[in-house]
This record gives sequence, C-alpha cells and structure tokens, in this order.
Amino acid sequence: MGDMGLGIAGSGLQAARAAMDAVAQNLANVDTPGYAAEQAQITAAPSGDQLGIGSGAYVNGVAQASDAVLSADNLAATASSAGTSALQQTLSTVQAVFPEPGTNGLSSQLSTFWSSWDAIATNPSQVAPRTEVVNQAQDLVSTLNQASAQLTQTSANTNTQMASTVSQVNALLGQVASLNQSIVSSIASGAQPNSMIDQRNNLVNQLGQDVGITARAQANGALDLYIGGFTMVQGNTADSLAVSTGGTPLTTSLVSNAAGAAVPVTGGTLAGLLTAVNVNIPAYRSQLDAVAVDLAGTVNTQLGNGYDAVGNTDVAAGAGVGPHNSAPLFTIGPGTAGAAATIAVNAAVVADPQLLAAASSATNGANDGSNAQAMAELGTSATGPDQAYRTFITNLGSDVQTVTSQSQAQQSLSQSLGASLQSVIGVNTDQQTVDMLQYQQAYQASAKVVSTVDTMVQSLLAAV
Amino acid sequence: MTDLMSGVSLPAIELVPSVMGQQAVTNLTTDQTSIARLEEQLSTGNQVNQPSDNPAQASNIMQINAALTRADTYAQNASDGLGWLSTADSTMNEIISTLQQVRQTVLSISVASLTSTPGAMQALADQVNSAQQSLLNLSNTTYAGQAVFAGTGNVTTAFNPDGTYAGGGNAPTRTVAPGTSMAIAVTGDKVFGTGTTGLLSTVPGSLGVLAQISQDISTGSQASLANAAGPDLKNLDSAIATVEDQAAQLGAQYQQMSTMQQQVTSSQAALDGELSGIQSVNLPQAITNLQTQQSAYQTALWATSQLIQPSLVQFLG
Repeated sequence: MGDMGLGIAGSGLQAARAAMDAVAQNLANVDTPGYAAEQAQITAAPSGDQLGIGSGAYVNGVAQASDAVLSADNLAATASSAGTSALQQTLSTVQAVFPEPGTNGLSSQLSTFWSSWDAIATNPSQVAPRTEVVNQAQDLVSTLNQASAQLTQTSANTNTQMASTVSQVNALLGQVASLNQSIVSSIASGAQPNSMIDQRNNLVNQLGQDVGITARAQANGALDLYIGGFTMVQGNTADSLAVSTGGTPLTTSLVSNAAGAAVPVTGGTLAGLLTAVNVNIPAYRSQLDAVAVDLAGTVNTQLGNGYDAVGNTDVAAGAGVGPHNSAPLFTIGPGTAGAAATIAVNAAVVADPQLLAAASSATNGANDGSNAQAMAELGTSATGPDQAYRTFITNLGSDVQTVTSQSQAQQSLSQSLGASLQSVIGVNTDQQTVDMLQYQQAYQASAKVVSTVDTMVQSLLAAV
Repeated sequence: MTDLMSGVSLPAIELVPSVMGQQAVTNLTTDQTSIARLEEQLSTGNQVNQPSDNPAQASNIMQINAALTRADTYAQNASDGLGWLSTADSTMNEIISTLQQVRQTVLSISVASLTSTPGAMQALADQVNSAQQSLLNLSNTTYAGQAVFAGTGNVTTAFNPDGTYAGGGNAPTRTVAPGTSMAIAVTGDKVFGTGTTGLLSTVPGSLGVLAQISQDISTGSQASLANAAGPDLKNLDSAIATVEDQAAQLGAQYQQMSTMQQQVTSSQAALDGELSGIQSVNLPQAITNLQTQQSAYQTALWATSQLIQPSLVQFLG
C-alpha cells in the first residue's frame, strides 16, 4: 500500500515538475520570434492491480501549439507582402529618375526647346538664337541619355539584389534539409525536437519572404518545400537556384540546378524583383526610346522641309534629310533600340549653327525664319514627343500608385494573419501564469500526499 | 481555439505581447508616413509632387506648364511685332507728309510768274530731289537691326541707292496664338512701287515718279512742265493713294496685334488660374490636417508607452 501511494504521489510530483518546466520554457521564450508555446501532456498511468486504481500520472509528451491552415496562410501572405513591397521600392526608384511634374524635368526642357525656335524667327540672320537652339537640343539629349543610363543602372542593381537573395535562399534550403535530417532521426528515436522544429519554421518563414514557398509536412516529421511544381527540399536533400539571363527579349529567370528548368516564382522578394526587371523596366525603357525617336523624327522632318541661310548648298548630297537635303539636328542609331541612349546632336550643326534650316525659301534664306516658326509650334501638337512623354509618365505614375496600394493592402493582410497565428502558437503570459499556479497546487497536493503516507507508515511502525 | 488543458473555448484572437508590439509599430509608421506626406505638400506648396501622387493630374499639369511656356513666347512675339508695326506706322506718316509736300511743289509750278526764272525751277527740282532722298532713307528704316520694308529678302536694306528694290519675299510674321501667325510689316515694293510707276527709282531709262518730276521741272520747257503738271501729277497721286492704302493696312495690323497681345495676357492668366486650382495646396486645410495628424501621432506614442500592461505576475506573492 505505502509503496503504491508513495509511487503514485511521486509520479504526481514528477509530472507537476515537468509541466512547470514547460511553463518556465514558455515564459523564458515569450519574446523569441517564431517560438511555439509548449504544453506538457499529462496522462494517467494504467492500473497494475485488480482494484483498477491506476499507477499515477506521467508526462507522455510535450505538445507544441500549431495550426497548419493558419501557418500556410501566413506563409503565403508573407510572400505576397514581400513581393509587392520589393516591386514598390524598385518602381519608386525608377520614378525618382523623372522629376515630374516639376520645372526640372524633360517636359519643361522640351517646352523651352520648342520656344527657342521662335527666337530664330525674330532674328533670322543672327547666330545667337541658333546657338541657343543647339544648346537646348544638347540639354535634351543629355537628359535622355542620363535617364536611359539610370534605368540601366536600376536594372543592374536589381539583378545584383536578386543574386544575393538567391544565394541566401540556397543557404536556407540547405539548412532546412539538414534540420529535416536531424528532426527525423530525433523523432525516430522517440524524442520531441521542439526547438529544432521552431528553428525550421523560422527558416521557412524567411524563405517565404525571399522566394514564396509552400510547405508540406511528412509523416516522419520532415518538411518538404516546393516552389511552383518544383521540389526544393525533400527530406534531407535540397535543390538550389541560379539566376539565368537570356532569350529575346532579354529575360531574367530563376533556374533549378537539379531540374535545369526555370522555376515559376510568384511570391517573395524575388518575384517582385523579377517583375520589375522583366516587365516594368523594359516597358519604361521602350517608352522612353519611343520619345527619343519621336523627338528626332519630328525635328528632322520639319528641318527637311526648310532651307538654311544658303539654301542648303553647304550640306553634302545625301548627308541631309528631307526633300531639300537639310542638315539634321538629332542623330539616333544605329537602329531605334536604345534610342534614348544613342540620341545625339549632329556635330556638324554644333560646329556651325547656321546649318539649321530655319527658312522656308531657298532664295531668302538669310532673313526668313518661317520654318523655325513652324518648328516652334510643334510642341503643342497632340501627337508629338511631348504627348508621348506625358503618356509614359502617366503610365509610370499609375504603376507606382497601384503597386503602393497593393503593397499596403498585402502588408495589413499579412499582419492580421500573423496576429492570428501568434494568438494560437504564441505565449500568453497570463495563461502561463495561471497554469503555473495550477501546477504549483498540484505539486503541493502530491507533496502533501507523500507526507501523509509517511505519517501513516510512521504511526504503523510506532504501533508495532 | 480551445484551451489545451481544460478544453474550454476561448475567443479567437488572444493578444500576445509580440503581436501588440508589432501593431503599435505599424500604426506609428502609418502616422509618420501621413505626416511626411503633408509636410512635403506644405513645403513645396504643390499637391502633386511625383507622378504617383495623381497620375492623371500630373499629365494635366505638365500640359498646362507647356502651354504657359508657349504663351510667354507668344507674348514676346506680340510685343516684338508691335515694335515693328509702330516703327513702320510712324515712318508711313512721314512718308505721306513728304509726298504731300512734293505734291504742293508740283502744283505750284503752274503759277505763270515762276516759269521765267531757271534758278527758281532748279530750286523746285532740288526740293523734289531732297524729298526723293529722304524717302529713300525712310524706306530703309530698321527695327532691331532689320529693315522693316525689306520683307524676308534682305536683312538691312529695302531699297538700293539707285532706288531699286533690294528686299524680297513676303512680310515676316510672328506667332501669337496656337496656329496663328500675323504679318508685322508690309513689303517695300508694295509701298513704294518699283520701276517707272514706283516712287524711288533713279535708274536712267527707267525713272521713278519723283525722279521723273524732278527731271521735268529742271528741264523747264513748256512741254516738260506741262508733263510735270499733268501725267506726272497723276502718277504721283496714284502713288500717294497706294502709300495711304498700305498705311491703312499697317494700322489694321497694328490693331489686330494689339488685340492678340491682350488675348495672350488673358490666356496666361487663365492658365495660371487653372494650374493653381489643380496644383496649389489649400494651405489652411493642409495645416489643419498636419496638426491633427501630429496629435494623433503623439497619442499613439503615449499609447505605445503603456504597452507594458499589468500582468498576473505582478499580483502574485
């Protein structure tokens, strides 16, 4: 009898102690990111005799709070939020290249350029207004060249960021695979590797942020990771990603090293960066190039309709443009791709501004500025380079506006899902304190039983 | 969710400290972003500071700015045009009065008492010559270094010393409104004429009206004086009528240019008004919003400081 009672009370003490340890662990990790609250599972031991009283209590495991659905939702929301945020930052950088609608941007420079042609019409025989037009043209060209260079730079920076994120992702995939191995062998030997599981969850969250990942738990405790249909981690083997650029038009993609094929990345920072590099920046570049082509074409065509001060006799045959072989002001090329980077002012005109075909008549070239007058009016056309540029800026602004509001929506969704998840797996201090009081009372009760049994045995021994 | 120990159902979201902390930080960041945006608006005075603030309005603003720059040039063109026109106008007045004097001179030769004195005839002829010379000078009047009667054909000279027309082309124009350009002068060949019906030619064999009159007067014969008082006078009258015609046209051009200048000014004012309607920040409203936002931010900061909530731990012994 005494043995049984003491044994039962003793097991009660141990159970209460173990449960207290779990509470202590929870309170110690109340601020640890990604920590899931543990709970000791106390079970009554089966009875060993005919009376069926039972043999005490034992802790048959420490359960870790989890919610698969919330975890999966949270992972997906984290990925979306990181993706839109990365895209928004990149597009804002691009928008900063174009200071519109201010007085320092290309729009304002174009207006000044067109109006400077009127000064030639006011004084057709003077060199000064022509030199001014050439200066304005050089300003335009340098703004276009710089904008194009900055787009290229942003693209290069984004590629660099992608490369470093990919190497981080590869490291994380490797770590998850090795944690899988440890967890599986630990579970197989009967232990409950809660802290390793917490660590693995942290890594998976980080991967979700970086590249958008789906996780599937296996029966043996391993966690398999997938991107699209590609298996990134299976048990203790991990794949890795590489950045690959190629094709026409030039596209960047992430390639799985094991499968050798492009992986469809739809979430995480990498998805946002890929969209920026493959979709947005090339679109902006081609719109900017179209503005440059339009500008050069419009100006050179109008010049081609006129004559310079000597009736275009100083332009070599075939070196001019238009029906009257006038000297062109802008040169682009070769080809129209990358026009914003290659547009330049005709060096011959820079050297001799009198080559500008400002007159409409060949014989009165010295004092006729009517072609320059016609040129000045082109700025207000509804279809010229000014309108093309405004359309481009509107598109850029709309893109940034849209992705900013998407990013805000995703962030608040991600946060509310995170809060829901935390409320299930996080440590609630008040709850833990109440549990602590309960386990303290249970311990005191079992201790009381031990001392009572001891008194009973003492009185029995004293009676003999 | 259910409490694992007792199996009791608990409310959906338990606020654990880490979640409360995150939410507080998010709210503070949102407040800070709003404050930053209002401060940007106040310091620039503009509502739209980058295209993403309002893409459609950004395009509108760029268009209005372009129109304003163009309108400034229209105003400059109009004022330059008015300078040309008023110079030409006052020159025309002098031309007409000079021609009227020549006419008086021609009329005076019919007085019989003067026919006997060759010296007196020569004096009259000299008067006509000097009128011719001053008309030649007037024909080469310049404004801003350009001859106003030369059309687009010549920069500095409308009429050569021998009275032949050195200009060419049409009168120059100035653009003063979208798609509208107005002439700012009349061409010398229309004002003074050319050849034998013109006023200025002194080329032997093809004398202009004044040279012809002068020659006829200085010849002094009965026939030549009759010529001077007859056909020459008729030619002179028709030349004067032509000049007055052109002067009227210049006057009309001047009025039109003046009107266009006023239109440019009022369109500039309209564009400015439109721009400030779209772009200008409503200062009282923005300042009020900023103050409201700042006090919300301070309240959020205070609330965050109260995040360390009392917990059961403080009440245990």
